[in-house]
Amino acid sequence: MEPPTKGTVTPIASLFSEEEARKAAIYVEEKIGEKREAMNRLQQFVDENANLINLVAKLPDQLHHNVMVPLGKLAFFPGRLIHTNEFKVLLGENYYADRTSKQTIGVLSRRDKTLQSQIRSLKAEIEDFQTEASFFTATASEAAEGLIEIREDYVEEDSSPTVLQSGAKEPSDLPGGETAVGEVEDDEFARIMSRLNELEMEEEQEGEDGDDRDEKHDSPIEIEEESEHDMVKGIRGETDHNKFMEQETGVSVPKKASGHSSSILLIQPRSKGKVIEVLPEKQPYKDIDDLLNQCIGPKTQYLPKDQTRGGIPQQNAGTWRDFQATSAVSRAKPKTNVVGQQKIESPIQKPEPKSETNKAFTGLIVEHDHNLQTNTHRQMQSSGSQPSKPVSRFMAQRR
Amino acid sequence: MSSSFALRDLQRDLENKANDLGKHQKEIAKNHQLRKKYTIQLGENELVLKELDLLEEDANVYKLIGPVLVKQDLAEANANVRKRIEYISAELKRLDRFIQGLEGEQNSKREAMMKIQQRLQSIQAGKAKA
Repeated sequence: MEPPTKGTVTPIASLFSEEEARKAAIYVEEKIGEKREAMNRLQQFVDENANLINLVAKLPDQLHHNVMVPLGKLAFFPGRLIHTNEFKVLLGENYYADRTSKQTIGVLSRRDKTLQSQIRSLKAEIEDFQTEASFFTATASEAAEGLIEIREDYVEEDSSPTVLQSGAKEPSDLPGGETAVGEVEDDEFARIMSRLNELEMEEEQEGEDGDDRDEKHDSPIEIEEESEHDMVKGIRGETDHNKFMEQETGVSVPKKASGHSSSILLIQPRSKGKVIEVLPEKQPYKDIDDLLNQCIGPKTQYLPKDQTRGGIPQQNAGTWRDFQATSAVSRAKPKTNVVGQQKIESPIQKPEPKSETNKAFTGLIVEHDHNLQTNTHRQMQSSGSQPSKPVSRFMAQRR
Repeated sequence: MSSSFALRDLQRDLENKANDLGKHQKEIAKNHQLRKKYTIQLGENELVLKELDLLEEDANVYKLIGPVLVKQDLAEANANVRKRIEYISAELKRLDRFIQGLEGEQNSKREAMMKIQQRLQSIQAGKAKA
């Protein structure tokens, strides 16, 4: 019970005291006894009914029967039964009807049927009570033995193990399996994004004029870039580069956290809280990421691409989720597989030589690293024209 | 001194309530018994009706009134039984409602009793502390 939220342990004895359970069991047993009695009574009726049917069936065999007629408790006198085929049958509720033997047998057999159905229902009831009684006795004995009940609420964990599991279980990236984790991830992502947004706003305010100039400067480069990579263009055209930057940095932060701890240190002054939050999530990947450095290359590469194409933060969140899933997958499967699974990836990019894209991307990361650094520097120095500069440099490198 | 007064008051109150509740429960039990009787009668009447329906038109039907069997018309007997069934069903419904009301009252009374008991206990605990 180290983490208090994990679950609760309650001894059954505290929930149902042994005595109470025994009492309940006894009570139910009594009920069973009552029902048994009722059933026995009914069974007796059935037997009587059967006897009566036999008698009624036999009576009309002869025209008359010599019988001893009871007179009071002790006396009998000889008599004769005549009209052996005429019966006055009690229908119930003090109603009698004149019936022949055959008709009487019909009435009696119908009565027998109702009795049987009553017996059946009683039997079912008794069975129910018996299971109840056995349950109570079992509970009583369990309480006596000191059994405990461990109750653990299912909590959707936002830690990487779940991501890993879901990724491994559903490598095809089924939406059903991912949604729960994705929500949590979305939250995390949204928080990172909002923080980055804040910082970006600060920068913008610091160097507004410079930004404007650079944006104009940016656009021609964009077009050139478009021809090379579709990825970057979407967002460029739609939103200002600031947004783009923050998205990319948003991605690159956890990436670096997973890959290189040194770069984390660089980022830390900027968004300390966020990185630290992300870090534990990513740490399990660390060694594997090292092993699969090449894998990460293409993966990370299309990641920003998705984002740029989507151009909307919500979609980014989705890709972020995708990326996590694939990162889990990529460990188990060859690189090409990963590429195939990522539906969002453009077909143009697939055939591209990995090493090249790899380099390009790592360059991108480094560049952003730079960005961050410079940004931090800028924040300290608060020089007006700088904020746009790293972006343009990044462009140049990409080309 | 006043607290002891209050305590005694509460205890008397609790006793009264308990008695009341006991009476109530007895009444409920009685009504349940009545209800059971009516259900049995209803079942019997339904059986009679079934049998009467199966009888031929010219069959002789008698009703036992006291020590004598009185001959009755089949249609009359049939109508009588139907009426009786109707009456019993109505009675059952009425009883059901009545029992429900009684049980609701019983629950409210029990709650009131619990409250008084709690207050009593708290007062006693306070006393014990003091």
